[in-house]
Amino acid sequence: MGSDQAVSTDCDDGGSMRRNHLFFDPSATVADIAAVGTLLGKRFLPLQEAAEGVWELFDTPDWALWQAGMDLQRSTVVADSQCQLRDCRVGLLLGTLPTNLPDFVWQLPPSPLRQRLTPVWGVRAMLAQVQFGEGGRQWALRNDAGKLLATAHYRYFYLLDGKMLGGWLQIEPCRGYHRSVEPVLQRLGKHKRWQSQQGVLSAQLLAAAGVTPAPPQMVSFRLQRRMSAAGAVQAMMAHQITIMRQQQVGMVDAIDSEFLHRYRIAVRRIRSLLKLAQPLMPPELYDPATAFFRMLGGLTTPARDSDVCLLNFVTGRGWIPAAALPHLTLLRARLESERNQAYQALRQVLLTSDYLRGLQRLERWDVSDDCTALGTQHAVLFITNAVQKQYRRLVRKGKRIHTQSPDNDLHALRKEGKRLRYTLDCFAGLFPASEVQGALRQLKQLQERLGDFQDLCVQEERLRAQQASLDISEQEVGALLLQVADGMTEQRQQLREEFSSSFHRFLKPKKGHTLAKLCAGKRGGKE
Amino acid sequence: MKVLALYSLKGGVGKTTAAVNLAYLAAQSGARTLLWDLDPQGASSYYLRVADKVKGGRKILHQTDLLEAAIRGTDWPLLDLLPADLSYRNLEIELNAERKRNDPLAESIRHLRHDYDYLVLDCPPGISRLSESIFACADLVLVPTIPTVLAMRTLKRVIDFRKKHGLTKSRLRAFFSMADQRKRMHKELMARIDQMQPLMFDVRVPQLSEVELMGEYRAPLHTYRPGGRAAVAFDALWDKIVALFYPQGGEE
Ligand SMILES: Nc1ncnc2c1ncn2[C@@H]1O[C@H](COP(=O)(O)OP(=O)(O)OP(=O)(O)O)[C@@H](O)[C@H]1O
Ligand SMILES: [Mg+2]
Repeated sequence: MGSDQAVSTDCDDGGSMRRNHLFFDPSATVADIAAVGTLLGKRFLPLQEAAEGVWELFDTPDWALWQAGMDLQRSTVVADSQCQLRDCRVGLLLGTLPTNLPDFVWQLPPSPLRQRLTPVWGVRAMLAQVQFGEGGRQWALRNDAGKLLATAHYRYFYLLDGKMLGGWLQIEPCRGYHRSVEPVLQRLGKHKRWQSQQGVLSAQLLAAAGVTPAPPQMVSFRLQRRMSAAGAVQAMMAHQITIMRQQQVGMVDAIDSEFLHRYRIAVRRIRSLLKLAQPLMPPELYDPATAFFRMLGGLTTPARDSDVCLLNFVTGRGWIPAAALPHLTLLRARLESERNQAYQALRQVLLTSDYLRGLQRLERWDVSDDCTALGTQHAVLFITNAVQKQYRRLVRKGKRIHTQSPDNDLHALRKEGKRLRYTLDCFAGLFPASEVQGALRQLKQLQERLGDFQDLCVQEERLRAQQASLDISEQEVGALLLQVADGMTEQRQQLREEFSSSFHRFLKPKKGHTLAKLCAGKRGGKE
Repeated sequence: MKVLALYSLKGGVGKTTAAVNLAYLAAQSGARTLLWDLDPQGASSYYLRVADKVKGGRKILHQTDLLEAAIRGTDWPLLDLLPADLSYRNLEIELNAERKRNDPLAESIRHLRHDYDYLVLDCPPGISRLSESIFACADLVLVPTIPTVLAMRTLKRVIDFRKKHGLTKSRLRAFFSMADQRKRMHKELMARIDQMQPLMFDVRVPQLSEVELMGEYRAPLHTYRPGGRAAVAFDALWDKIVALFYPQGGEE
């Protein structure tokens, strides 16, 4: 992308890129600060009087912008300030957002900035990830013609609970005027309390505030090979419930589709764990738990389907004919209202006490006095057996798929694959890492193929339903929808026709027989 | 990077005024913008308070390090300027010396293409070898046109020139500049805008003293008279340009 190149070329010319920060430690006194003001006053003209405000750093919940090397900041010091998009490694200003509050990127008018952000941002929401209190002043260094040569920001930051984070004197020369600013910098650098340092404000600030910009951490959790079968399964289910809880806040506020997505994965894992655990659990626990998590799976489906449609809406524009683009706004509005309804339904359940009890029942399953005889077996033995059975079933079903197989056969196969994948995923700790990883990779390729098929089914069904619900006055939109849906039918058929050869490749991958080997091994006796 | 050239055969029609204000609006929209003052008179540089002198002169067309070093930041975020230099008056010789295929202007522009989202060229008046280069490398050539019969004839000549030299790769658009509603000829010509589609943007930049004040403030119009009639006209012009560059939804 353009931003990368801009950074590398600008870096060496010492132009707009070279940022100069003078740091002082939080113990610096007001007198120190005033001294700098006086010092600056000699060469600098005040640009802005002392100001206080709150400074915010926005990102998606999983820090997608930061991961892509950008940060988006807004300060309330400058009235009606815009959001500034910067390169988070060197601080270069990449653009300013005309919107006051960052919102979905698709609401930006078409522009280079939007183009740059679209792949990163998707339709995900932006959150104010960190807030800092900020105070400071600004000076401008100008030449005789009144041309701005550099700005000096004296800024100090504190957490909103009052903790002082530090102060920065940031001299930002205009591109091409670095030389004329040099003498001023040198003089300031000699001041004993100040240290010249090159760095990026936001990275320093985040570090000072103890925030690590990273995707939400998965709770780490280790299985022990000594565990009993029931113990291992229960621990894993409890772990998945923790993950569900972590996503709930984001779902209630419908902040980002990612939360629901992770939530659903956890629900599905629990469901497949339950299936696995059936012979280990007393039926009075198993039956209601199965029903409860099945209910959750169904409940979240409409919301996820809407999310998928909206996500593809942005990325999948390529296949929409140009003439139909004006209708998209209408479609988008429909999809959004559907999504809002789906999330509303979800919220109503998540906030009930029945829901909490449902989770707790499974979390508090005490395996030491409430499991079947089989449950006391060694975890490794039990899981190896289960994996073998699941693999055999997958192979049997996969071999049966042909070019005319009904959709349901492919869906069923996908579910088998998923079950196997979840088991391997959850209990990876019980197997040698190299073998599990190879097996998972192999399985993932198959699942992606089947997943594409499934996505096409969901979207197509959705489009046809929408088409059927249109008024007569919206025929043009209807024709477009049908056209797109027909295209999807074709794509699906193609996937179906290619399936048996790809399944063959799955069974006999070029590099060893990882999955087959893992499932055929007599690992049970190894412990 | 999109290249927008402000060009006309006639002098004093508002090229520089439009170049400075449009570049300012581009930067304000959040895009990294470079204004290249190709006119040895250096009016754009003057408006942005940058000295109209470039180290290396027209050598910057051949040496990318000189080119990059010549760029100056302006007082406004995201807006940079490549200042004018007196040596540009001999740009013709420079360009004539080269064969068409490795046009040094085009090469320089290509070198900058990752650093900026928009490049605005403020061209000197006249039809010359430089104009040919500009027609060849601009995405949009924008011609400020005073609503007079004579000016319309000149516009026609530019169109013919482009055709004759096969320089129709770039798009050409015009807009009414320094329009005076009190003048009968201005009024009558502007009333016939429908017949001039799609060549003529439906935008009239009025003749107003607030525009001339740019020379006194040495700053874009919007910084000292936002919301004024001229500023609003430039807003509309900018919107039209963006719509041309980025047809709805087609940017992905
Ligand atoms: N809309 C307007 N209203 C009033 N004065 C204007 C307007 N537009 C331009 N002017 C004035 O007309 C003069 C010429 O304008 P400008 O420099 O923009 O034209 P130009 O086409 O760049 O000229 P040149 O060919 O000399 O480069 C300037 O003094 C400018 O202030
Ligand atoms: Mg000019």
